[in-house]
Formats: sequence, structure tokens, C-alpha cells
Amino acid sequence: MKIDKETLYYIIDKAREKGADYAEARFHSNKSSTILLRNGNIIGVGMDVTEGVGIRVLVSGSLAFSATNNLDKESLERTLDKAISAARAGSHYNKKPILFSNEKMEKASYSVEVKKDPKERSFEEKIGYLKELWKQVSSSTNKAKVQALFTMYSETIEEKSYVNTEGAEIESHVPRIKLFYNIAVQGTNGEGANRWYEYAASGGLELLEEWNVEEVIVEEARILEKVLEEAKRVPQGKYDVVLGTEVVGLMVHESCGHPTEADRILGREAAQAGESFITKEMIHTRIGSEHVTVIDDPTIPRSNGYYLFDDEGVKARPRYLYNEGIINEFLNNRATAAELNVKSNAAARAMDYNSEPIVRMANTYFKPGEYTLEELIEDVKDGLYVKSYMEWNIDDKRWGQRYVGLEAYRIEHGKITYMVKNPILEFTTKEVYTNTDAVGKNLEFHAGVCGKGEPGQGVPVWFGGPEIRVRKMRMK
Amino acid sequence: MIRETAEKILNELTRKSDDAAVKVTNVGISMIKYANSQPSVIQNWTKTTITLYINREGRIYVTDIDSASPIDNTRDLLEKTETYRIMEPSMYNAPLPQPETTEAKSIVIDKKIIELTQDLDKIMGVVYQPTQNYDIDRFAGKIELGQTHSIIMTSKGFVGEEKTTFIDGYIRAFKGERSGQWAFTSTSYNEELIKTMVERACDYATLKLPYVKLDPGKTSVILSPMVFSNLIDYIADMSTATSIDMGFSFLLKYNKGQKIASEKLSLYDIPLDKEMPYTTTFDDEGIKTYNKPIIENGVLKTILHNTKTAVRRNEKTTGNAGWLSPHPWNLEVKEGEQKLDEMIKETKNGILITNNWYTRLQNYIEGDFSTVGRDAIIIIKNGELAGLVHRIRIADKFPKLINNIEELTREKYPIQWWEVDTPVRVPFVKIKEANVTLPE
Repeated sequence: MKIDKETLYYIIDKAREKGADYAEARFHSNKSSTILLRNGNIIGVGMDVTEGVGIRVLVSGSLAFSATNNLDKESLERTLDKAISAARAGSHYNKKPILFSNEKMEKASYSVEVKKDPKERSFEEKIGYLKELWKQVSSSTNKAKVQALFTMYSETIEEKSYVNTEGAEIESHVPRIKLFYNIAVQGTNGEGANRWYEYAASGGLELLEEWNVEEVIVEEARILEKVLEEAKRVPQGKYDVVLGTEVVGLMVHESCGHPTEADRILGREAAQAGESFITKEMIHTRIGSEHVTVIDDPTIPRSNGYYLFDDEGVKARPRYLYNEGIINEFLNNRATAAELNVKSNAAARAMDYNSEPIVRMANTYFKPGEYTLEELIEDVKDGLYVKSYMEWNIDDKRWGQRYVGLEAYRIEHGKITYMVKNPILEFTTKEVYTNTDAVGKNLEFHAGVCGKGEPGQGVPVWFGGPEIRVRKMRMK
Repeated sequence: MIRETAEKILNELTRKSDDAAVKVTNVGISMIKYANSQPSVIQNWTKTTITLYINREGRIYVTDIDSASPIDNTRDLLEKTETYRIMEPSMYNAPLPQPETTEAKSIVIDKKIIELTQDLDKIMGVVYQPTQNYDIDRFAGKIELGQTHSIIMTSKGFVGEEKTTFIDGYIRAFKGERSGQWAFTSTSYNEELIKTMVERACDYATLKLPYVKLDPGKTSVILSPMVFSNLIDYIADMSTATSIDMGFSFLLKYNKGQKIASEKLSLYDIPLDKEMPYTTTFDDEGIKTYNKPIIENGVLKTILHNTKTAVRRNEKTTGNAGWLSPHPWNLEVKEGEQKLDEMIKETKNGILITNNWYTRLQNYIEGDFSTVGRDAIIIIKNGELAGLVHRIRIADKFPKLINNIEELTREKYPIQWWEVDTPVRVPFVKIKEANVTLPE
């Protein structure tokens, strides 16, 4: 059930009448259908609808958010009243008022082009495709046994209609496709290992063809087999490391994207996902070598984190977070921008109608350089190539990070010589960016769901980059 | 009202299915999020949500509807199931169980919470006021409270009604570069729990201990209930039949009756504990819930099942449905015999880790994981608190860690927060030879 724009305008007009300094109303619909399989056997089908209106108001410097899925005017007005009275109550405790930056507001509408509509392929075909994955994987290994393949395929459509009291009126339509899998393999000595990964992007079924999962997944099972049967441990010590695009993507998401979120820097997430090693005074200071440029760009066509206007009505653009090794720009919404006396760069996103818009990444990537992978490797005498990972984490200041390699190789005298078992890289943010001395020229993106906020909001993102070379990293 | 909605939807469903169930839930929730010692946002949610289960010729459909037009959405879904008939029956196909009783109620209501949801000013003060008694620079956190009212109906004639109030919260207090955090959860308003939350967070943030250097490696660790509840939440999740089936559990390698942990560890699923927010007397299939050991005296006692996963393993449901996946309700670890002070006093060299986050696994089958410490991480030397360290990790294996449990405290704390989904009541725990790492 879609809501008409007049109703949204009615709400924000009422908000003004009732004393709100600012108000926004966002109709937000997320519809998804999901097929779940284990070892080629169907578990079930899920079909979910989340649809309603989120209302946010600023009253006397106090911010409140209320949401409802009851879309009649009376209910929406009750929801608005709750937001206004909550904001009033909050203002009694506010020592420092919350303000929004002045921004240019526009009326716009955008949608993602679908080349192959999911409706054009029958359900039978989709099931057949997913069952084939198990057929391929189950017979892919020689010695090790594939114990389980869990697959989850989903099609989603996210639609929004947004207005605020400052003249923004934005409509959007973003369909997405996602394929998640987990492979569990048992080696001949009884040891097990697993690999999960997800593909996700905005668009239609053309994505499935591009991803070529049927071949990738076979290779994934064989890699697990090699990890269990052939990979060797290498002594702890300092090595030159070539990081694969998957590791680089996650690393820039965790140690550039998150620490440049201005709401963290200003303490708004302090009790949840934490704060940042970056203080507001550190803008334009050095964090890494001149090879390090990290961009977050919501406007990449067909990306997982795609949007052209954020959930405060501000027009999106690429954000150069680290530029040639310098902390260049924070991710801002209107509240953090006002506090830092800058303009918003359209980083406000909400997961669904139940969620307040907060500062988020979209598609974060390490800017490619000029090297091929072979060139990066040939200049390493004693090192490692860590192509993929399973375990990772980072502390709540985004300083100490850890990645445990899954597919990883030893490099000796410029050549890959053998597979390495679970190399552990544990380093600081400054260390890894400072020691980066060469950057590959390809650019690959990986999909994820980034969690933040209270209640937790998971929003679709991409993270990516080329391979990079980092000198003298500790391997445990 | 929600009963009528449930009846209406179940009628729609039963026309085109062999088995069906519906859960209609009304929620009214208020949350205050604090940052820099003031509310950063106050949030309210009032809504009705609907979850449907349909079994049509063995094909299983589960749907969450959070919208204004559930009946239309239900009809859309039923229409789609026509198209989906070409798929084979589910590997978990099994009929919904015959109810042991046709009507069941689970009512846990605290009027004080209902009153407070109408008085946001008062809720704000509940956390704000006690923090003013401590010498801290600032605090952040949240307090959330509300009520849920649900009706579950199945095509086998079961009708269950559930009413629950809840309140949970957490505070992170800061003093210079030091910080402390604590959380609580409950079905009733309990000033003592709020006081403990503020007290512990502020005490840890204001510890007058120097920062010291730590050599990484194997050492004894005392994990606070904040940390232990996070790890227990993971272990309990891995004890569900679907986690094992999907390759997301180290219990894939073990059978019931096997010793998998120190005999000091007993972990229970406790749906009937009325102080814990996910309390219920029946599950989503209408089966009576009961408290049960998952691990008792170190022995794996129960894999959590719904009817479907149980049939596949030739076992009985444990009353933990989830229509697709079983899940724990509330968790509790059996207390030990020591006081925290005694536990510290008996530790020659070790670390007290008061909070953690970002637990991730390298290998679910082997249980290889790491988790990052945050807030007060306290070095213990010769039975005394001797200094603080920054953000260490525990990087180890779940099976090894739970086998190395040496002692637990008598006092337990009910925890639920950003890093702990399932309400867990746990003591402090002492674990020997835990592997501790540092990024530098």
C-alpha cells in the first residue's frame, strides 16, 4: 500500500503547526522474497514486507523519531504527536541543542534500471539454478568431503517517498538481488572449515549472470579442501604482504569509512559501535602514505549501497575520505555537519521506516593505482598474498584490526610458492596505511550489510579496492 | 482486536494450505538514546506486525508482514504459493503438532513500565539522575521499555496469548581515556538493576590504576557477565539444529551426551523465567515450553529443536520453535561458589575483561574465533588489580575456552545489549590459558 505525497505533506504541515522547528516524513517500503536451500534441498520460501512511515522532528534543539505502519491520517498524526512530545521532553535535558546544517533541497525522483526483470525468469528456473550449485559443489573436491552448502537467494525492492519542511521531495525505487552461501568442508583428518560469502547489488537478474557463482563456488570448495589438506603454517614474523581486494575492501570499510563517520567522532555512537581514533582536530592530517586514497561513493550505478539523495533529502556525491594519505573529509549528516560547521555530504541513511536516518557508508573503496597483481608480487622477496578472510574485527576506536586469511599464499623471491594456513594479520590503522607502497589497478567490489545504530540498522553496502602491497606487516 | 485479525488471517490461510499458523503482535516501545550525557534521540514505535506460516503440500512459506495492509499481503502471498507449487517439498516438511492444550496464556506485565512509557520525562531521569553522583566526564547509552501483546493461532486449533513488558538498557561512562560499560534486562521495573548498571559503568570508568604493558600469550582471564553473555549467546545459537545443519556450529562434531566443556559449566534455556524478557509458556508451534539444560556439568544435553528439525533427527521438539529455525528463549549459566573478590584474590597473573565487542569466527566448524576487549581491561597481579591495558583480544577456540573454565561467581547479572541479542543471566567466569593478542 503506497501512501500519497499529500498525506506526507499533511504530516509535516501539522508538525509545523504543532511547534516543530523541522520535520520530515518518509514512506519507506522494503519487500523481499527469499529462497533457502541446504545441499540442494529446499528449506522454504520467505516473503517479507516492511512498509510504513517514519517521522522525525526537531523541537527546541531536541530530536525525536516515531514510526508506524498504520497509514491513516489519524494514526500518522498520533505518531507525529508522540514525536513532538518526546522531543519536548528531551529538550529539558539538552545542554547543547541539536541543529541541522543549511542545505539546498530539491525535488527529484530516481530508480535503478533492471535489464532482466526477475519476473521474466520462472520460479522453477531459479530453483533449478540454486540446486545446480549444490550439484557442482558436492562433486568438486577430491579428498575432502563437502558437508553442507547453505544458499539463500533473495530479490528485494526498496521504495521511498520523502518530504521535509525545507522543501525536499524525493522518490526512489531500488531493486536488489542477493545470493549468500556457506560451504562446510571436512578434511581427511577430521578437521573442518567453512567459507561464507555474499553477492549483492542493485539491478535485476543480469547480475546473476555476471557473478558466475556456479564456477566461483566450485573454486571456493576446492580452496577449502586445499586449506585443510595442503596449507602450511609459516613462522610468525614480519612479512611484506599483498592484500587481496576482499581484504582491502573490508579494511577500508572498517578503518577508514567507520572512523570518518562524524557521528562517531562526535560521540553519538559511543555506547554502541564506539567512537573513532580520529578527532575533529585531525582533519587534514596524515594517516598513511601518498598511495592511500579511499572514496565512499553512493552514486556508483548498480552498486549495493546506491542512492542519489540521502534520507535527509541532500544530493549524494563521492566523498574522498582519505586523499593521498591525508584525512580529507568526514561522512556527515545535517546534524554533524552543523556541529562541525561544514555542509552535509549526504551520508544519512535509514534501513527501513522503523529507523531514524543516521550517518552511514554506501560504497567504500581504495582508489586503484597502476600495478598488476603480478607486479605487486614480483617485488616481494619474503612475503604473503592474503586473498580472502573469514575472521575479522576491529576495536571500537577503529585502530587495532585483525584479519585471518582463508585463501593465502607464501611469496618467495617474487613468486607464489605454496598455500599458507590461516595467517593472522593484526595491526594498527596507521601502520597498514603508512606501510602501503604500491596499489593494484583493478577494482573489485564485495557486498555486505553494515550494522550500526540503536536499534541496530543493517544497510546494504559495497566495499572494495584493488590488491595493495604493504611492507613489513606482523603475521602471527 | 488482534485476536480478530489473527482469526481473519488464519481463515484466509487455511483455505489454501494443509497447515498454517499466524502470529499477530502489537508493540508499543519507547527508547531514549544518550550521547554526551544528554538524549541524542528519543524514539517511539507503535505498530502491529504479523508473521505467517504456511505448509502447502509440504512446501513451507514464512512471511513477516509489517505493513498497513496485512490481509492484502496475505492474499498476495497465497497467490504466489500457487506458482511455487512446482518446487519440491521442504526438507523440513512436517505437520504442525497437535496442541497439548488448545488455549494458553503467558502474561508477564509490570504496570510501572506501562506507566513509564507514558511519561518520557521520568524515563529520561531514570538513567540521567544516578549518573550525576559519579565523577565522570560524560556518559552514553540507552534505556528502552515497552510492552508486546501477541496472539498465536495454528490450524491445529491452538490459540496462545502472550503479554509482556520489558525494560533494558546500558550505560557507557567516560573519564578521560578510561571508560566502563554495563547493561541489564528485565520484565519489570527494577531500580536495583538500573543502579547496578550505572554504578558498575562509572566505577570501571574511574578506576585509579595506571596503564601498563601487557605481553600477549596464554593467561588466566576473568570475564565479566558483559563478555561471558556475548560468548554464551554465540554458543547457544550454535546449539540449534539449523545452525548445525547449515554449517554454522562447532557442535557439528559432537553428539548429545558427550562432554564438551568443563564440568563447572551448566547452560540452560529458561523460557519459564518470568524475570527474563523473552519468557513464554508456549512456542510458535503451540508447544509448551520448559526450562532445559543445553550443557550440564560440561555435557552436551540438548540440541534446540522445533517439530521440523526434531523429525529430521528422530527426536522430540524442545519447544523452541521458530517456524523455520529453533532458537533459545532466555539463557542462564549456573552460578559458582566464589565471590568476585575471592576470584581475583586467587588469581596470581591474569586479566579481568569487563566488556567486549565484535566477536567473529574464522571457522564455525572448529569454533575458532576472536573478540575485542573494550572499556576497563584490568591486569591482575598476585591477587590484586594492578593496572589497565588497552583493547586486547581473546583469540581462541570455543571448545577449548569452555573446557578451561575454572570457576564462576555466586552473583549473576541479567544482560542484554547491542552485542547480546538473547537475554542471558550469567556470573563472572574464570578461564585458564586463554590466548590473548594485541595489535602491536
